[in-house]
Amino acid sequence: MTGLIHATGLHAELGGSLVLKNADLLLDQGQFLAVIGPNGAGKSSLLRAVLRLLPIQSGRIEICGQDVSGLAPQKLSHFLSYIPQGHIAHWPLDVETLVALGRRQKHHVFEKLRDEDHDAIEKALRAVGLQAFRKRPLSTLSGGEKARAFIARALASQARILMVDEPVAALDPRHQLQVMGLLKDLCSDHDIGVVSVLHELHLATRYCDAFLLVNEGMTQLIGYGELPSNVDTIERVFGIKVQNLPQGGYGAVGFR
Amino acid sequence: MKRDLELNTLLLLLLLVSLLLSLMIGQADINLSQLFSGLFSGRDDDPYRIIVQDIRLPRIITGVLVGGTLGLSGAALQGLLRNPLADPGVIGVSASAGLGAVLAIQYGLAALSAFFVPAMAMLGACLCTIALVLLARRDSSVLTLILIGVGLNALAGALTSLAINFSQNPFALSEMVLWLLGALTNRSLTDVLLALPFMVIGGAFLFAAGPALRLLTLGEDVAQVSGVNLKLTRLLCIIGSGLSVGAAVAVAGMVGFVGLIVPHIIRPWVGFDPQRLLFPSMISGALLVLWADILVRLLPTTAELKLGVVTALIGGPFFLYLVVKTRRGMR
Repeated sequence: MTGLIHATGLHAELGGSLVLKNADLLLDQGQFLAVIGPNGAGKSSLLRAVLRLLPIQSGRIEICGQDVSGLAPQKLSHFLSYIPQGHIAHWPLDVETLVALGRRQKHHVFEKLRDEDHDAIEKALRAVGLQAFRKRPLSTLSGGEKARAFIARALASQARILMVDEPVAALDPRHQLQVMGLLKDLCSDHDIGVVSVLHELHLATRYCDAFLLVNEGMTQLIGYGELPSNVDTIERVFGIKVQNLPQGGYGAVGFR
Repeated sequence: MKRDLELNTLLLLLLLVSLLLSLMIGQADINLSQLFSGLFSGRDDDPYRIIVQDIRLPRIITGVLVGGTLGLSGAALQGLLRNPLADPGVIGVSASAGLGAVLAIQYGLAALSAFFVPAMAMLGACLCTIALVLLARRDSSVLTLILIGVGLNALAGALTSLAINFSQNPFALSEMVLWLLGALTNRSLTDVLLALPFMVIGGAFLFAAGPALRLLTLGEDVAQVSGVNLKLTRLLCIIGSGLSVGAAVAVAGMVGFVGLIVPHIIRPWVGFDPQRLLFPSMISGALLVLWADILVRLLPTTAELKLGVVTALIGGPFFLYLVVKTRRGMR
């Protein structure tokens, strides 16, 4: 079984209007799926519906082969980890405490961290290259370091599915490449699947294996190989002109 | 956690020393041997027994319980609302307890038995807690909870002013106003026994919310995906604060600023962790009230200073200093 997420026919409402119309989201093990689409298309809503943060009117969501409607939230947290937009921490915890939060759902609430937890935290810190930053408060980190610290927390949970909402927004180009590379490596090295909302078309087309185009609450899955024949659809949905970049992938070059 | 052991031990030692000092200092200073002879004496006419057991001990125990409650509840509410300006007053419980006490004085219940004032205050706090839970049940957002709290706070404050406004009896009037200022004077062990169960149960609720408060650092969505039951956490914090702060106001009146400033002082010492903040905030709250009360007894003022006035006088400027300092640091 390689299907991590099998969500089909999702309908969801937000503030009285339909934000998801028969939307599907399929994710396989080792896959890096980009969710692309214009602002307000329903990308975040799609993620939130799968995460059960947004109730669905109809549809079926299976996570790692299990129907989520019968699954306790506590149980679901073993499979899914979520990194929302903006990397918000209301208090400037240190990096290690933040990463350790990824282990909380493994235990009864007041249990102490065990050896396996410390191992997982250590591994996660190493994977994102923040070992030297473990005692640093989050408030002293740069945007890129913060993004990596939040990925480490998700990794420490050892969840097989990582749901990320705009991981590279507000990062400089160097950190954008770094974070995208990190997410791609995670997919290939750790048997996990990553779903990421992305606005950076050039990064999505260079790093991701498949694209879920969301438009007005509806979804269309585009495989990496099928990309060239779907360029027209992407141009129409975004109202832009895209061009093949010399280093691979596509980038917006003007209005349509 | 191991790294908090030193901090907590230090605070507990400080509390112990402060307790002893507080028992020794007052209108009649007594030394350590007199203190212990008074503490363990069984003779009714022993002056040291009267000073220690009848006068100072109930007052000091009340102070420790009230301070601990306010510190703990302030820390928990700031964690839940993720707002460093939250304090037990913000959810309206203190003002409602104050209203209950004022009504007890206004309608002469206080004249029947002194027990009615704290009992009515507790009733006011419980009603406010129930109203909060019912009103916040449908909408889960933190902002709604704060706004409902502010509304209830204003309503209870207005009704309290109304009671004072209509009061015909100057004695009752002065009693109401003085009661609202907050004080530990003339506390008996009966008051302590009335408040204690509510404080213990409420405190246990707040500690139970600790792990969820830590995950809430990353926002409600992440906490929920991580398996936190948001509704339960909110209930634990509201009911926990309602019961314990209600009991604190019932026995000591309005003692402001403790719940607001104590978590701010402690936060840097526990790595800004909302869960690790709870215990040291409780002990520090007790310390703050204990020392404010020692100050009340030491300062040679003509009328005795009210405890709530002192905590506000220390708390206000100190809070401003903290805001300027920490906001610069957190940026």
